[in-house]
This record gives sequence, structure tokens and C-alpha cells, in this order.
Amino acid sequence: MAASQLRPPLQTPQSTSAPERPHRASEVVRVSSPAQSPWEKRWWIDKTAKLLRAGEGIGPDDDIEALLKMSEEEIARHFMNDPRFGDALLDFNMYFIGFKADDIKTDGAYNSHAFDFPNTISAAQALLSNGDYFKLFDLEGPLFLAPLRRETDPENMLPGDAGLTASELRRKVVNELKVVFANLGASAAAQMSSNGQDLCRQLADFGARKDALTEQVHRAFDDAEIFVLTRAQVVSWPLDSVARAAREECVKYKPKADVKRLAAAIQAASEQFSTSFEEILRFEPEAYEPESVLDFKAVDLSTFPIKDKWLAFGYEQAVALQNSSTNFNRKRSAYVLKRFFCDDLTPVGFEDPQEHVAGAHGSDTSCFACHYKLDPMAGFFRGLGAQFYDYSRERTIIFDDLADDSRSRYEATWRTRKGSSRKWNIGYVRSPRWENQNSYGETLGDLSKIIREAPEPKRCLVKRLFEYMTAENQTIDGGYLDHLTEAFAKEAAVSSSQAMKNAIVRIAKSQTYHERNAEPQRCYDHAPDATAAKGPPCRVAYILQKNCAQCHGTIYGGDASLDLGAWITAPDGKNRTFPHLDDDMQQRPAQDTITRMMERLVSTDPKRRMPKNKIMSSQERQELYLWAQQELSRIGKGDVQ
Amino acid sequence: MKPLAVALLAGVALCAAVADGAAQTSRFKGWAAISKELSTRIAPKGEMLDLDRFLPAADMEDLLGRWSTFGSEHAFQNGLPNAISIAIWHATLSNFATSVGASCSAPQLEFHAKFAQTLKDLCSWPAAGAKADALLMDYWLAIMGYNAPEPEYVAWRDHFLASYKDRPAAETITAMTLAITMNPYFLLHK
Amino acid sequence: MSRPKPMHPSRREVLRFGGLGAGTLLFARSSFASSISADADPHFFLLVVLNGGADSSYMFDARPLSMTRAGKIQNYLGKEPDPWIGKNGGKALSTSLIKPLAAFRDRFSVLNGVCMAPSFDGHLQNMNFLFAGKPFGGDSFVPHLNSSETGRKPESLDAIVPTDPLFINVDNHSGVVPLRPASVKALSATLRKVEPPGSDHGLVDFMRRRLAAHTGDAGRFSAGSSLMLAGLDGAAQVHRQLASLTAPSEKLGPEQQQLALIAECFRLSISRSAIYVLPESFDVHAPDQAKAQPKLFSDAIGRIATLFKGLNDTPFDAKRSLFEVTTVMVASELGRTMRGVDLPIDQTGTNHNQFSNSILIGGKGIRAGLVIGASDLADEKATVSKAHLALDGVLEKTMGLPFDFSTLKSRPDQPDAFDIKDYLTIGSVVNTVYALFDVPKSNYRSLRRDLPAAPVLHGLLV
Repeated sequence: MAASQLRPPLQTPQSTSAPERPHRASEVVRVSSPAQSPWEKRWWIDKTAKLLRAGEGIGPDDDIEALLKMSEEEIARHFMNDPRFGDALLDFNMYFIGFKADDIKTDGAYNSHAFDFPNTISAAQALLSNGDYFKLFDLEGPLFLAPLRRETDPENMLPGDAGLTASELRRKVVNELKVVFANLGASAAAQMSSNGQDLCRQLADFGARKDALTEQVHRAFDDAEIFVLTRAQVVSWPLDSVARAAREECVKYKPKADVKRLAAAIQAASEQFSTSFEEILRFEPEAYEPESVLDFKAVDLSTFPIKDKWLAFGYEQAVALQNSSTNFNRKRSAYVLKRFFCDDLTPVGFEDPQEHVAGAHGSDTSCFACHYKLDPMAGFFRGLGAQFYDYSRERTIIFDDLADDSRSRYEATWRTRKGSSRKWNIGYVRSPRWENQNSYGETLGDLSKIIREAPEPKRCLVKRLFEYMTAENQTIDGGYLDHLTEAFAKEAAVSSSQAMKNAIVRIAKSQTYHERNAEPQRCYDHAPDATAAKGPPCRVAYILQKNCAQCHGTIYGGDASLDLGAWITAPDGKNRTFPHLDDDMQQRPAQDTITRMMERLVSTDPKRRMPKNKIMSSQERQELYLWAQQELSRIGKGDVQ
Repeated sequence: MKPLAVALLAGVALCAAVADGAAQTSRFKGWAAISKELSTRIAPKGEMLDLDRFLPAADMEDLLGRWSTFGSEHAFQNGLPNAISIAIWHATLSNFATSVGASCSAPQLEFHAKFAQTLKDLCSWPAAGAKADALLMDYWLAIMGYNAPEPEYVAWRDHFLASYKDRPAAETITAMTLAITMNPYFLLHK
Repeated sequence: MSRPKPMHPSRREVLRFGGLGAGTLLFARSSFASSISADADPHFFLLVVLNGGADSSYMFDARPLSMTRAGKIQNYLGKEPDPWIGKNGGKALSTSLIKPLAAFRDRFSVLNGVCMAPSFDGHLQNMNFLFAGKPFGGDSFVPHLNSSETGRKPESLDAIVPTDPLFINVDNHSGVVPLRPASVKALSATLRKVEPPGSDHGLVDFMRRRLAAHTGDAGRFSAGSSLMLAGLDGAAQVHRQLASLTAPSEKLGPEQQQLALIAECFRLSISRSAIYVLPESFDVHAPDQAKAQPKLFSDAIGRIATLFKGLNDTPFDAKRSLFEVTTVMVASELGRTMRGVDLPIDQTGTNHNQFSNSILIGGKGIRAGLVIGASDLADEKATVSKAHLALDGVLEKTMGLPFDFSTLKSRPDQPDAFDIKDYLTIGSVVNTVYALFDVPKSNYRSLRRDLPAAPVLHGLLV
């Protein structure tokens, strides 16, 4: 990276920040990237390298001159072929689901955190091998175990463990329990022709020691690993299966226990235990040191006693998204809505449901503004208690606050009324008034399908990608976002991996991405068919155009003498507002217009609620409402636009 | 230096979600990103510089901007510049800069061969050769990368050619390095 | 099927204060450094947070055992409470657990029946409500106490947090900084070896010029450069202040170290406030957790008492103790229900109650020894208003009584409908603190968007 290779002779310093200009509305979009000086292009290359190579920008071993000769698209795709792109992708995926970390590697080795979100890994692997990137939306799937820990925890070790390595301790604890099973098996074999009472006594003692035996095994593992062991039931299932058989056979009224059956139960438990841990110990760090995301290997779940798909909510999410006995999974529901649908649940308002909604939140309309979406989504998690443990086969459900409840009573919260065509009131609800707008389901698999098929998550994904690549809270024109999303969705119908790569390229070529000093409230990019016009702030211009301007497009002869497509100086001379005339054909103050708009946005009266008789996406309503709220606050403070 | 687990939790400061008001400004890239950037540019290939030792205390990187860790949805914390974060950045980067300056006499860090050569040439300051534009540009790009526009380099170069023209190499390189690393183009994200 | 073992990051073990000589002088040195705040009227704020929704019936809003016998309220302490009468005639019942605080009754007042976020009963919403006055978050009140608009020169930081943090959604906590005793020693030692910014004037002037060159535009980078410039201007002072911090003695218990650090930060003008989060979790939904409340509160109150004693015994300067220059507030985000539903009274946990919270407030500027506000359902025979029934038809919760803001007494009437204006709210408590710190009224919390500011409790102020 020698200077002589780099630069032309010194020139007059050039301004690189956006030129000063007054606040403007939509302008003709530039589809191609702006002309750049070599210096600025190097900046763009370095920025893109950092983005797509997991923070590693241009270094002394990069051939910057060769890159300068390439087009921006070629450069971006070149970086996407770099081995480090997998890490960048994993980082973005973790950002999308809300658990981005500073780094996914330390000293070249992946942090255990990087393994905690299976859908992010699956999606990254899929994209790198041209597969189905939308695995990101799957809430059930494989389990990716991190390399088992290298250090022991002295706090949990027993005196006899002193001096053992972590790996040795793991093998020791596994063998300890194997020996217990073996001893029980030998006892059973020796008592085949007896009445089995001695065996029953041994099994009773075994049953009483279940917790202690479990802790004995757990001492060799850290919290994240214990989480997996617990969810997978690799210790509890064998212990419980033996205890269950003993409970059934070793009863007072039975003069003779079925020793053969007990022996079989012990044998099965022992085999299952061994099989599970044989699989787990494949992840010993000496044998498993992935160098790239593609090297991450999934656990063979068939070796575990539970045969269900693995839940994508891992250890950290189990802590972060706890469900208390009074929360009814709303925290988990809010998480899904926020992360996969970009719906922050701003309580804007709702349409009156066509049937009466009972319950505390149903009768309180201000609560219902959020709960009409929140509660049905929460129902997908109804069988998952503390730490997402599956209680769907249990009578009692235990929550993260350690309170418990009858599962059937708890789940009744989501049952529909008699006569309904559905069993459950569970789904993604866009409108409580028009049910045909909603997507219902019962299981997490259904939820994954809804997320895959609904348009909102794709739009949300593109929006988050834009934020990740430019800045969080950088305003994006709604039309431009729709344009990006439309292209993405169309391409994803053929290949979601390719679509994602193309989306990255589009954003890397955008004007916003090229800005060094972007104004957060300004839209730098617009849809190709956008035309220059003086209009409202870009944050809401497209939303208004799409939802409101058909009826409120002129003050003459239009509805309410309101033109939501224009933006003028308000009567006070300080603020700007929509053209909006009162009964005397005088322009209303900005505060008046905005207040009326907010009232119409949140009104529950179908005659007043806007847009009238039209579905407006909750995300757009929320965005418009928030903007109006901030406008009102700004006007109230006397800030000048 | 890995922060203590407990101190790590302390880094999850009281700003969880950042609303529009606070996010209207660039924030710090954060210690992890800065460390990676510098390592990419001046460390041997595939290696990371041990920069944690320049932090004034074990968990101070929490104050320099970081993604929150275990136990809640992650947000970028402590990213907005304030007096204490600037004080910590300054102290940390001063230590780093001093180490680079001291490398003129004895190596303090393991550098990439190209950077080591650039530094070696610069260590002949205030000799004329050390003031060559090409060398100064090399040094600037090694530390700053391409983060800053050209006028920043020009201002930096001109300042040191004028104000440090006769000063010893170690002092000059320390000051040069600190001036680059305390530049907003180096520290700020977007 | 065995229950899943709940796994959380391991907590530190907390040593009992008694064994560590609780309340002894926290400073090793015997003289006071000259770096005392130049402020003629130093005023600091300490917020002690009980995280998880603390049951005030184990402190200053207790209930008679007859109510437990009638199956109305759980009481795992099993002792009859004692009257706690304020100098203003206000009445409450206190448990025996508060005994360590009795020694300080001339230092604080009790506020009972405080209404939090009426429409939400979640932890996060109510913690947001405590800090920001809005359930979804916003501007925290703590930094406002350090604003130059108070007429007081701001300290370098708005607040330090020497304990575990809280999870809340606030926008303005960039000046609220985690600072642990464990890191102070190394931090101050290192900073003593490094020159603060500005000692090489030429270099720092150059840095300032480069920052200034980028301010003034409307872009994000320009805004960040402005913040950096302001930060650089204040950094030298902060550097010197932090360099002069004395690390608390490692012989002290963790809480004592934290208080020593707070004291240092106040004395050296590093911080206006401190936010101290007790390590206990008070969220006792499960019966087993609820049964442990006597010990839980015994530990927590012991900690609070030690904080009070430490504030009392720790000098701020030659004339004043720390307590005399610090306003202290002890609060949780919620209260708790009297019991769970459908569980035996001796086997029940409790849930959240946003309608009746208790707050202790004392120190500088506060009239101590008062009891202000009360909650309803004082015993098993009590009746409630229709307003209460509308919000809590099953009478799981106590609710604050209607309140007369002019006399600071609870009203005897029973409103038919709930009107927030009738009740003592956290908004009033925060506005009272605002009034104490001369925070401009434009920051005051309103009762609701369409209502005026929550009334200040003037009678609580000296």
C-alpha cells in the first residue's frame, strides 16, 4: 500500500460532505453510483471490505490497484467470495435477530455465542452454498453445538476431579453414570428369577438420587452446555425412564416385579445415555475447531431421546426472553414481531373487531392497540415454559419465575370461542376487523411458514440490511424500500441466496451508502420511477402517497380540504405543514393539522379512522404516527424546521 | 485482556434502546472494531495486535462503545462521545501511540513487515527522508486506513511538518499516531 | 420429569455487613483532598433500586395477621406489624424487618400507596415509568438533575452505576456510566501515568481544530464530531478527577466498596448522581420464592441500613456528612399483589401490582420522619372504592388511597371511577425531586398527555 501506487499529486482539498441544501422532498433517483475520485473510491472499497469481511478492511496484502479497476458490483461480489464473508453474514444474521456481538471470534476461534442461534448459522451456510437463505426464518431446525469448553470450573469439581482436564472430566462423569447403569443392569441380570424386590429397592434408591446424579454429570459442563443437555433430556430421559419403569413395577400390590422389563428399561436407558454422549463428545475442542461458518457442524439429533426438531431459541434467548407466569409469552411474541416483522408495537390504534373481544385487554381499547397483535402471536409459544422447555406433553407448565400452572388452563387463554372455525386464536394478526388479512396457525412450524410466506418479513429483512450497511435509524424512503424489497422477493423466488447477495450489491451502490456525512432524516435514494416533487418529509412521503393521497391529494374538491402530497410554509412562518384549509378557506396552523391526523390514525371509530375502509400496514401506521408525534413535539417546543 | 464476567455485565449500561434523538449522531465504532481495524492494517497477516493492554483498566472497553452482552436483546452501548469516553480513549490511544513511538528504539509490538519498514523509515525523523510526502502518506494510511478524506491527511501532514519539524522521532511519532487515532474519522462509525 | 434447572449467570456471594464492621468509616485516609466540589451548595442524588417489584408489606406498608388468617394476604414473617407514625400524623404499619432503618427515621420519610404505570404491570414498563415517566421509555430523570439549567455547574458525569446494571429503555444515559470498584484501582493508577488531554497544547489544539472542522453540518458525522469536541473539552478535567480517585479498600465488603466509590465520585465532582441496584431479586411469583421474603428483605434492608449509615458516617467535607449533601430515594418499580389466585394462603407467591408502591426518600432537602400516602385494604374488613373494583375486580391488589396534595394526607372518600388526578403517583415523586434540584418545570412529568404536571409534594421539602 505504498503512497506512490496510490495517489495522484496533491490537489486542492475537496469537500466530501453532502453539499448544503435545504430540506427537500423526493428527487429523481440516480440508479448508477455517483462519479468518485480515486481517493473516495478507495474509501468505498475499504468500507465495503470491512462490511463483507467481518470488519477486516483493506490491509497491506490487498491489491488495491486491482480493485480500483473493478466496478463497484464486481468489488462487492469479489468480497462476497472471500472466506471471511461467512463471518460477516453470520454477524448480520445475528444483528437481524437482535443478538449481534462485538465479535464472533476471539484470537481466531469462534466464541461460543456464535453457535447459539441455529437459524443464523443455517442461513449463513445456505447462502454460502447457494441454498435456502430463508432458513433464517425457521424457528425449528438443527442444533449447532459449540466446541466443548476447554477449562474446568473449580467451583463445581469434586475432590477426586483435581488435576483433570475439562475433556477428562467430561469422560469421567459420563463413565460414572454408565457404571451406575451397568451395576443396575448386573443386579437385574442376577435377579431374573427372583421376585425382584431387591432390585426394586436399588431402583428406589436410584430414583431418589436422580437430582444428585444429574448434578454429577452437569459438573463437567458449563451453563450453555447444561442448557443443551437439559433441553435434549440426555440425562433426564434415561434416569426418568428407569424411574418410571420402577414406579410401575415396584408397587406394593405386585408380589413379583417384572425383572425382565426392568432390565430392559435399564438397558435402554444406558444405551440411550451412551449414544447421546458419544455424539456430544464429538464436539471436544481437540477434534472440533471450525475455521469458517461452513465448518460448523450440526448435532445428529437422532442420537438424542427427544426426536423433535430443535428450537432455534438458544441459551441466551432463553434468558433474554423469559416467560413469567403473568406474561403469557408476550415478551417472546413482541420479540418475534419486532425482529421478523419490524413491528415495534407502538400503540397507535386498531380497528374495531367485528366480534366482541373479552378479557382485560379486550375491553380496554388502549391496551388492545398492541394486544390484538401481541396475544395471538404469543400463542405459538403456549407450550414452552421456563427457558423454552417444552411442556406440551406435561400436565403442568413451569415458568421462568418458577411459578407453575395447569397447562390446559394456561393454554385456554388462546382458545377461540365455540362456533369458531378455528380451534385457536393464534397467528399473525394484521387486522382484528378483517380476518382474511390474517395468518393463523398453531405450532412454531406454522409460525415459521407464516414468516417465510408473509411479505412483511422480507421487507423487514431488507430494511435491517439497509440499516446494517448504512446506519440504524437512517431514514429510508418507503418507495425505495419497496423497490428493494420487490426486487429481492422476485429474485428470492428463484434463489434466496442470490437475492440476498444482489440486495447487498444494490445497497452498496446506493447514494446513502456513499454518503460520508448522511443526514439521518434525509432520503438519499428513491425508487426508479420516483419523480421530483415538492412534498412532505421523505420519512413519510411515500407512506402518505400510498395510503392517503388518493383521497387527500388536493385542497380543492378533495376530502377535508387537505393535500397530503404537498408541503408548505405554515401560517406562523416558522414551520412547514400540509395544505389544509378550514371552513373559511384559511390555512390551518401546523399543530392543528398534525393533531387531527393523529386523532384519525388512532381513532377506533370506523367512520373516523384513516385511511377509511382501507388496510394500512401497522408498520406504516406506526411510522406515520411516530413522525406526527415528533412533529407535534417539535412544534410545541418552538423548534424551527 | 478479557474483562471479568461480572464486569462484563456492568458494561450493559442503562441505555438499552436508543431512540431517534440519540441516534441522530455518529457513534464510536467501539474498541473491538478499532482493534480489528488496526490489526488488519499493521499486524502480521492473520494476527491480532494485543491492544487490550493499553486500556487503563480491565473493563474500560465497556465505556468505549460495545454491543451489550448476555441476558437481553443486544444494543450498542456507550457509543455516544462524552467527556469520560474521550478521556478513556485518549488514555488508551496515548498508551498505544507511546508504544509505537517507543518502537523506534525497541520493538513494542509485532508489526506487519510493510508497516515495520514504514515505521523504521519514519524513525529517522527529523531527517529529510522521514519528511517525504510518500512516507508520511504511507504512515497515515497504515494507521487511518482509507477512513478519512484527503484534506484530513493534508492538515495532519502540514501540522507535523510545521510544529514537529525539529522534534525527536519518538515524540513525533507518538504525537502523529495519537493525532490520527483521535481523529473523528478514525473513531466514529456512521 | 425433572424440572429444568433455571440457569442464570452466577451471582456474587454477598458478605454480611456485620462481619465486616458495617458502617465504619469507608475511607482509609484521614484527611480530605482539596479536590472538593467548588459548588457552594453541593447536592447529589442517590437512587437505590430494588429490582423486580418489592413487596412493601414486608417493610412500611404491612398488614395485620388477621388479614392473613382471613386468607387475604400472604405473610411469611408471621409477626404482627408495629405502627409507624410520622411526625405529620401519617400512619403506616411496619414489620420487624425494618428495625435496622429505625435508627435513621430522622433521615427519611415514607411514601405509601404510590401509583406507577396504571396501564401496565410489566417489569420493564414500570421500570421505564420510574425512570422516564413513560412505559416504553424516553428521557430518564436522572441526567436532568445534572443539567446546567438547574443553575448549578454540571458535574462531569450525570451518574455512576457501581453495581449490576438495570435493563431500561432510556435515551439520555450517555452520561450515566458503569464504574465498578474493581476497576478503579487500575484506572486511577494508569491515568496518573498518562498525561491528560491538553497537556501538550499544540497537539490537543490540532485535534480540536480537526473536530471543529466537521461540526456545523446537518449530518450524523458532524453531530458526532460535535459531541467529540465537547467531550474533549471536558476530558482533561475528567481525567484528573478519575486519576485522583482512591480505590476503596479491598478489605471492605462489596457494598461498602461501592458506597466508598460513590462518596469519592461525589466529593471529587465526578458525578451528580449514583444508581445503586441491590443484588436481590424481589420478583417472587413462585411460593418458594415468596416464603424466602423474610430473609430476602432482612438482607436487603440490612444493605440499605448500611448505606444509610455509611452516608451518615462518611464526611463530605470538614463540616458535613454525605447524607447532608445527598438526597436519597429507595424505590422498586412495582409493588406486589397480596397473594396469588387459587392457592392456599401459606403456599402462594405474589404477582405485580402497579397501583401501590412504597418509596423511601430522605437526605438533603427532604423533611424527614413523615408518612405520606397510604394504600387501601388495611385489614380484612376494609371495603374498597368502585374505582378500585374497576381496575382490580378480584381484589388481588392493594391500591393507593385518593390523595389530598395540599395537606399531603390520604382522603377518606371512595371514588366511583379511577381518575389519575386523585392519586399519589411516581410523577409527583419525581417532580418533587425535580423541584428540589431546581430542574426547570418544562421537564416535569405530566399525569397524562392531556393533563397538567403531577403536583409537587411541597410539604415534603424543607
